[in-house]
Amino acid sequence: MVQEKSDDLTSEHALLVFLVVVSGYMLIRSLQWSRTTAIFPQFVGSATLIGALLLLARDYLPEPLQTVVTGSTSITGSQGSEDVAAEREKEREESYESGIPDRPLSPALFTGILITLYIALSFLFSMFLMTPLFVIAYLVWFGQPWYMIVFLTALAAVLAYAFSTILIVPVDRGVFVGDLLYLAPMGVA
Amino acid sequence: MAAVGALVEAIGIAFSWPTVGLMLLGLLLGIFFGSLPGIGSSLGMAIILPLTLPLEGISAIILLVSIYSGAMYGGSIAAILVNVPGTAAAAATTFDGYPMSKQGKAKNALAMSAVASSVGGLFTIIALFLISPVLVEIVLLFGSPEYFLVALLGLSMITIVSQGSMVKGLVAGMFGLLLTTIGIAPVEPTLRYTFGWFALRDGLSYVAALIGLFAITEMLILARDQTKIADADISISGSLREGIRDTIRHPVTVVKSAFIGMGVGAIPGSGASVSNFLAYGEAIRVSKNSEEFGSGRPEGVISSEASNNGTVGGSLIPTLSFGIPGSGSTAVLLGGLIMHGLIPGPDLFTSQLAQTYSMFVALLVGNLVILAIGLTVITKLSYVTQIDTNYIIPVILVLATLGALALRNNWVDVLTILALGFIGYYMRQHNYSMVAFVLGIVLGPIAEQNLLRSLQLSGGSLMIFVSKPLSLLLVIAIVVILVGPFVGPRVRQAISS
Repeated sequence: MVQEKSDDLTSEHALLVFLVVVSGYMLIRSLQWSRTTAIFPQFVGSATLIGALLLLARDYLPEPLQTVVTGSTSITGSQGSEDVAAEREKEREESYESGIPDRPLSPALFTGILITLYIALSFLFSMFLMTPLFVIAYLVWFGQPWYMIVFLTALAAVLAYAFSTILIVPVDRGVFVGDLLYLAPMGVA
Repeated sequence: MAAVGALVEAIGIAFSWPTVGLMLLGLLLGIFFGSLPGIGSSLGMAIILPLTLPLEGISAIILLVSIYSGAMYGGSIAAILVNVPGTAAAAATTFDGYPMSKQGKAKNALAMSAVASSVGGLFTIIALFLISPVLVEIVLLFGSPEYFLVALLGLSMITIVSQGSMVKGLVAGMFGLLLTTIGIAPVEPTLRYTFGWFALRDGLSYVAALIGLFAITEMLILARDQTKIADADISISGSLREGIRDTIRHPVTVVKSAFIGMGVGAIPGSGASVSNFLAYGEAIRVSKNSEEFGSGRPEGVISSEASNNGTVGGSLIPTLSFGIPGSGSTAVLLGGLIMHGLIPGPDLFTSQLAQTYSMFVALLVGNLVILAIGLTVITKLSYVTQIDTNYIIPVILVLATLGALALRNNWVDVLTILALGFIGYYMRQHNYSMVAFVLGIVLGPIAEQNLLRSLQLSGGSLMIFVSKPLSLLLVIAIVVILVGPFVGPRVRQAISS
């Protein structure tokens, strides 16, 4: 989702730093509890922390340890088949064509931002209001035909309504709005 | 006799209303999800999982296993018609299926796929029925220490079975386990990592985690790839009858591939994405015309399709016996089992045997339905494979978000799908095993409870994990699995030199 050049270099490092921070915090926090409560988080927290640190420092490890950390293993013996698969995948790509309109954001980054906004705004203004807007925003961005935008927006609104009435999910409530669908007459508090 | 009684009861359950309707719905949904490139069974099951909340436990599970089974077959449709496997389980089907379509034999290939999938699935489910009494005996040997060790063994196997760095797999699995420690502790009423936030008291929902990792992550990847299938000139021609005849002419390939699938499926972490290649490779190995593979050999389609449906039966063995899923789909199934109060282990083969058998009956019937659908309507529904992914992505994301909120009406679950969706995206991008991560999240509570129960039994001594032959064997197996791949070659080298 981040820029291509820095993708291989930093996004994995960021992921590993995140794992180190989270597991480190959880490990330290667990020291305050009794043995019974702490033993499992300590065990899995330590394993996560050590593994993430080893991966983070893999380029600086002595060679035998580096082999262990980065080495891939397979007991399935499917490596040969994977080569065949990779070869076929290359051929298959010929039957694809790119459908990306020229946009300033990469498709995954845009989708990531949009889903984050959708969830944040749904919390504030209810999912019932935000769901159709989310679908419209996505489809317009990717240049889809108007009739599909209308159809899928209607479908999404129906889905939100169905969740609200059948599964009694409070999709019509947000921090700033409440009971848009007024469920009370249907026996829902 | 108890088994026969349970079987009769199971048939009654499977054919009762609305269970039988849900089974048919599940198969149709599965075929639909499977035939959409990039969707597949795990995602389909994860999306449907919250919707099963109002259903009766076994009906919900039958719906989920039917989606699983249907998707295994559905994956072949896109593989044959547009050279894009709907699921990884059908990747090997493209090798000969698509060339057959180009030769004007699409109907032949679709018929082969339907018959091989159906027969492969039938054989392995019958085998599952036959071995279930043995499974009971094995499962009953396991106590808390063994269950804890089996959880670790499952995670270890996944890290080694999945391609890529084993340490990455272990980190993914352990991080998954770590996330399950959020919330109230199992034995003492201590709140862990809740930051005083009441909504986190019950911890993260594993169903929300599954939705995040399968739906959000997959949609981000689909959005990233932004490829659409070129307007392929698909003409559905050929002969269904010839396709059926070709499959019947290769009974050994069908049966052997189905059981390869079953065997691979029983290994945690491998699943149909591996078995279809192994079965395809075996078909090439024994064929007298191996050089013709890749240009439209019937055995190529038959072996791949028989094996991926055979995997379904195999993957249920560790899932139902020990709670160790064989694949992403069975991880979701396991989540469904736990969500509906069906705990994997001896109970599923003793007091709840009828429910377990009803699942097998549904799969058995489901394979016959797959055959009927495959030979009748599939050839008329080929346009499903060409649906633009940009129509699917927003709908799946909406369903995932609504489904997450539906789980407990708790916004923590919605945040969970978002956070784990992003984490999963980067893990996938850098080849961290998603199955290990998912397994960690699903197994965490079971593993911790069994660890604590074992320590209570032993008065806190870790010796309980090596004091009995079975547990000692499991410990040795874990060590061998984790250390073997690195030490083995050096030992062999030392011996040979």
